Amino acid sequence: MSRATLSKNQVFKHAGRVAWRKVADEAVILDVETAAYFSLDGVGLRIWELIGEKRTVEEISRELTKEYDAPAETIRRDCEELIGRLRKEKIVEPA
Amino acid sequence: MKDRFVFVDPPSPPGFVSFKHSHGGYGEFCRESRLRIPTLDLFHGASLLLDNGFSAEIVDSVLEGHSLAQSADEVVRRKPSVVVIRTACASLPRDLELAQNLRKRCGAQIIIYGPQLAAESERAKAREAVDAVVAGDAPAAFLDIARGKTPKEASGVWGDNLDAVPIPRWDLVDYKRYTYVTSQTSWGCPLGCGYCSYPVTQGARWKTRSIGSVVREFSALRDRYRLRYVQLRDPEFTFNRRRTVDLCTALIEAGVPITWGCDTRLDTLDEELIELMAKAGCLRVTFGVESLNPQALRLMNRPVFSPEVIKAKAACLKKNRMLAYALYIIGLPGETRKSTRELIDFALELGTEAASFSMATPFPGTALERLGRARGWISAPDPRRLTSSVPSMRNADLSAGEIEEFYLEAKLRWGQRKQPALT
Repeated sequence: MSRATLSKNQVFKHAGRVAWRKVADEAVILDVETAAYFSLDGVGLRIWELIGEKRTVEEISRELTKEYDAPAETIRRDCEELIGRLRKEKIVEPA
Repeated sequence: MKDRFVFVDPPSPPGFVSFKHSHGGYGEFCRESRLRIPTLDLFHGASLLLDNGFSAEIVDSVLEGHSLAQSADEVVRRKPSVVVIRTACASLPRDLELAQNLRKRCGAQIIIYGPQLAAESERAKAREAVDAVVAGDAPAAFLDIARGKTPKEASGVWGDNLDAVPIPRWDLVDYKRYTYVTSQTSWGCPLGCGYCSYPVTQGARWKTRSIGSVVREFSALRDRYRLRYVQLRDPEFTFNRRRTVDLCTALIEAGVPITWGCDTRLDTLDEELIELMAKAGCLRVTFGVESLNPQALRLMNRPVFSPEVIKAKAACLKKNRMLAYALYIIGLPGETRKSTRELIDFALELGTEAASFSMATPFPGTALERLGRARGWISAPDPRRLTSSVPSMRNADLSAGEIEEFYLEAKLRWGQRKQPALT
C-alpha cells in the first residue's frame, strides 16, 4: 500500500502473525509466517508503539510532532511512509 | 604452506530447498520454501579453523541458489587444497556428483561429512567419489585434519568441552540474506522419542555449553553482526529447568542482547518459566504435538498429553506474546484414518501462529526405522526419499499414499485457516 492511499483517520494494529519485544531501544518484530524479522529504532520504534495503542495515523503524527524537533509535514510524511511499508510487509493491518 | 579449506553446502535438489541441519543433521528437503537457513555445523567447522589460525571459506550454494555446475565453479575459483562437502540423507547421491565434478577439476583433497555417514553402507557409497569420509560431530574433526591427522584418526567430537564450539563467523557469507541465523547451546536428548533423530546423531546424553559462552555469543551476534534474532537449534532447549532459569537470568542481566526462538517439549514448560523466557527475549517456541493418539504415542515412547494440557500451554505462550509453532507427524505407527483426521482438526482448533506437518520418516537408527523394517512398512529404502515431505513408509492402517494425502490435506487446510490473533 503506498503512502497516498493511507487515510489520516485510519487505525492500524500489529498483525496477529507477529510477536515483538523491545530490546535495547529497538523493537524486534518476528513474522511467524515468513520467519522474517524486522527491527525498528528511534522514531520507527515510537511509531510501532503508537500503532499498538490503536491511534489513527493523524494522532500518531501529532504525537510525534510533540516529541520530535522536526517540521510537522516531514513527520507526517515519514510516519505515513513507514506505516505503508509495515503494511506492505503485512506486519501491521487495519484495526 | 597451510591448507586452504573450502566448506561447501551443496545446492538444493531441483524443486526442493534443503535444510541440512534439520532432524539432527540428517536434513530436511521442502518442496516449497522461502526460508534460507544456514547449516550451522558448516560454520562451526570453518570458524574453528579460522580461530586456530588456519584458512577457511564457505560456499553456501543453497543460499546462492547455485546449480551443481555453478557450485563447482565457485569452489574451484577459490583454489582450495581441501574441499569439505556437507551432505544429508536425501542428498548424498547428488552431493557425490558435486564431489566427482570437483575431483576432475581441481587437485584438492575432497572430504564429505554428514551424520548418516556413520552407517557403513552410506560410507561405502561415498568412498568411491571422495578422498575421505567423516561422520559424527564433524566440526572438531576438521581441526584435527588441519593439524595433520588423517581423517581416520580425527576424533571428530566436541567431547564434553562444548565451550570449544566457536562463535560462527557469519561474515564468511552474505549472512544478512539468511532468514535468520542459528545457534546451539545444548546437544543430545535423553527423552528417546521413537521417530527422533537427535539421540542418534547427537547422543542420548544431554550436554550443554556454559551460560557465559552463550551470553558471549548472543552479544557478538548483536555487536559484531548487527543481528536482532537468533533461532536456537537445541533439540530440547528447556530440558533442564534450572539451566533454563540460569541462562534466561544471565541474558536479562546482560540486557537481553538479542531476541531468540527455541524448540522444546511442552512438558518441560510451565507458566513461570515461560514468563522468564519472554523477559529474556524469547519470541518463538516450537513444540511437538506430533500425535494425539495414545497408541501411536506409546509406540513412539512419548508421553500422552491431553488436548486440554496442550491448549493450556499454547495459551500461556500466547499470553506472554510468544509465537507458538506446533509440529505434527502424519502417519506414525498406530495412527488410523480417524485419528489422523482428529489430529488435523486439532491443529486447526489449537490455532497456533504456525504449524508444520510432516510425514512419518524412518531416519536411520531411530526406533521408527527399526519398527518399520520389522513390519515391512518401509516402502522406500532409497535414502533419497528420506525427507518428511516425501512419503517413505506406511503403517498398519494407512498406506504411504494415504499418508501423503492426509499430509497434503493438512497443509491445504492450514493454509486456508483464518489467522488467529496474537493478543
